[in-house]
Amino acid sequence: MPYLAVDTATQTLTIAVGERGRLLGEASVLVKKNHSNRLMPMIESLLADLEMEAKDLKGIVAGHGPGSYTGVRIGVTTAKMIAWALQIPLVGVSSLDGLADHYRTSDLLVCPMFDARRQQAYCALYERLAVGDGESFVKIEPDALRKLDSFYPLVEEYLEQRRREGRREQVVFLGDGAEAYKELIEDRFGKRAVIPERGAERLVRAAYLLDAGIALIESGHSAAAETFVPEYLQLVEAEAKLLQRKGSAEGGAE
Amino acid sequence: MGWVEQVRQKYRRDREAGTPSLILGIETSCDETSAAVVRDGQEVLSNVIASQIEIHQQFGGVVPEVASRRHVENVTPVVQQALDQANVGLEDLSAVAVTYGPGLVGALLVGVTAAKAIAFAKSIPLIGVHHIAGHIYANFLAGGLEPPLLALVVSGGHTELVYMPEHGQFEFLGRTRDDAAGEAYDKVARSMGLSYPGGPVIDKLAREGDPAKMVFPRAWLEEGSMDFSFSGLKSAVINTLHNAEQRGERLEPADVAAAFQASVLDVLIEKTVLAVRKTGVVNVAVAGGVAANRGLREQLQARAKQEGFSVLFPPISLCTDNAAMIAAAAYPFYRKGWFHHLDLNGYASLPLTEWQEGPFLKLHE
Ligand SMILES: [Zn+2]
Repeated sequence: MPYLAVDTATQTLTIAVGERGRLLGEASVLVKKNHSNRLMPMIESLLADLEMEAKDLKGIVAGHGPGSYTGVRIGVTTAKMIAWALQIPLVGVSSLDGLADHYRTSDLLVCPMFDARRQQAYCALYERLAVGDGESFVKIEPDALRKLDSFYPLVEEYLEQRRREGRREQVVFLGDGAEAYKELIEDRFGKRAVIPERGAERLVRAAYLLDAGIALIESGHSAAAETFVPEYLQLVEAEAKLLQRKGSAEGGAE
Repeated sequence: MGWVEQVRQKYRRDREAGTPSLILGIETSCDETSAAVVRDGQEVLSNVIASQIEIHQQFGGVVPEVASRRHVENVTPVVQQALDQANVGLEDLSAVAVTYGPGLVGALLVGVTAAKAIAFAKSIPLIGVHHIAGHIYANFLAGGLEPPLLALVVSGGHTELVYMPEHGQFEFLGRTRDDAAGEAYDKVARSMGLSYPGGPVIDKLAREGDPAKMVFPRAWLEEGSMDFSFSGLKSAVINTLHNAEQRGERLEPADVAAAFQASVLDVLIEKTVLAVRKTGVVNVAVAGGVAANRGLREQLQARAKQEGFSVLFPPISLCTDNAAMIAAAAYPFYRKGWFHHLDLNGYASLPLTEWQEGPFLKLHE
């Protein structure tokens, strides 16, 4: 029985259906808007092509962001309501993983970036590390909204460490963040930065999320659909201001 | 078998069996997450409402992004509760109905997405519902009402006079050209330093004040117009408060509230009377959050008696946004066999006329 993975955190609307180690189908479109009316017909048609129905699904994997708020809510809400209605397991995985995994087997430092405007990006860092007897592709800096001028020194530290250890001193930047800040990146990192030319490597792939999610579900992880929400990684501006006001009001009272 | 074919078969089976219909309604167009189960368009088996009002009160109004986030948190438990309270399972449902406009688009999309996911997962027909039609149909939940009728829809987002010749048919006679009545209440309350939402506070205060202490304008617009305008009134109140403050005078808040409410109610009531005369209907149904306003209830009833028409107000619990009214409004479409595809979207502004015409997936020949 197959699993379904869904991600709508970026402009790439992407879904995949498969089992452990076996991708049965994947569909992606790059569109600026209307993920809402496209997602469900896409799921329906991919399943129909595979001669499957909703009730054949064994579990759901949702890209839980970070990313566009409205966008990520569509994928997350779809995923959790399908899982809830069918009473099947649900797991959330980082949408950044769906981008970073393009370079899973490379010996580069990997930095997927979703543009968050005003010189900020939702990003994380990954690299291959020795784990137990073998090697594994590991997230070494968590998903966060970062100001680029404070993030770049962190990337440089990792590059410096790689240089000292005799590993390849290069970082690959991926995603619309890498495209938006291409010049800044090239100015700062020069030859140490790689920005892929190939269109195929620029988009989040649900197939990668599917692999990660199936591994989680089959090792016993499952999120409760009732409380499942996106990882926005940022407060709403009005909430942030309110917290600030409350904070200063309390400070003043002391 | 594709989803459409499964849904078609289910619909035929259910109609042939002749069992009562059970429609799950979902409503997330503003700051209330609601789900309900309604039998045959009239009998409310459950109507669960998770209000976010306390959250938005801190901001002095609805913050759309905050509302959308709360909807995602609330939607699953609220739907679950609605099913539990109605003592039905997803398998028992005849259709899923959801508000798809008008409203805050981010908020709408949570409900629309959730409804589509349920419809898809369980192969249940899907019906997108116009929010205003929902408010009008809140009146049918009390029973005993039949079209033709005239609806006065007044809320924080709407002020409309709608003629409804038959089920599922709507014709706008008038609408607001600027602020909605409820919005004017909120803004005036804010400028008077009163809490959000403004309607209930001003309604209460107005009862203690003298509406003759000051006179605010009434926007009648052109001769015979059934449209509304409340922004001039709102500005007049704010200016009056401001000028008094500059002169160091203190206006009695109860008098300001009374004069403001008198001006709003005058216009609402007289335009309704005009619409009744033009359409010749005998039933007027009031809907929307402002339908809970006591001043409006009393004065419109009194005026209706003079004019010889009857006025119906939904129970207070069904005046504000709720999903039972959405399920009720979907019922005539269910009967006709008109449904939506899985590409249903949410729309910040959605004309009633567009809704009543489709495009629908017609499962009934
Ligand atoms: Zn409403």
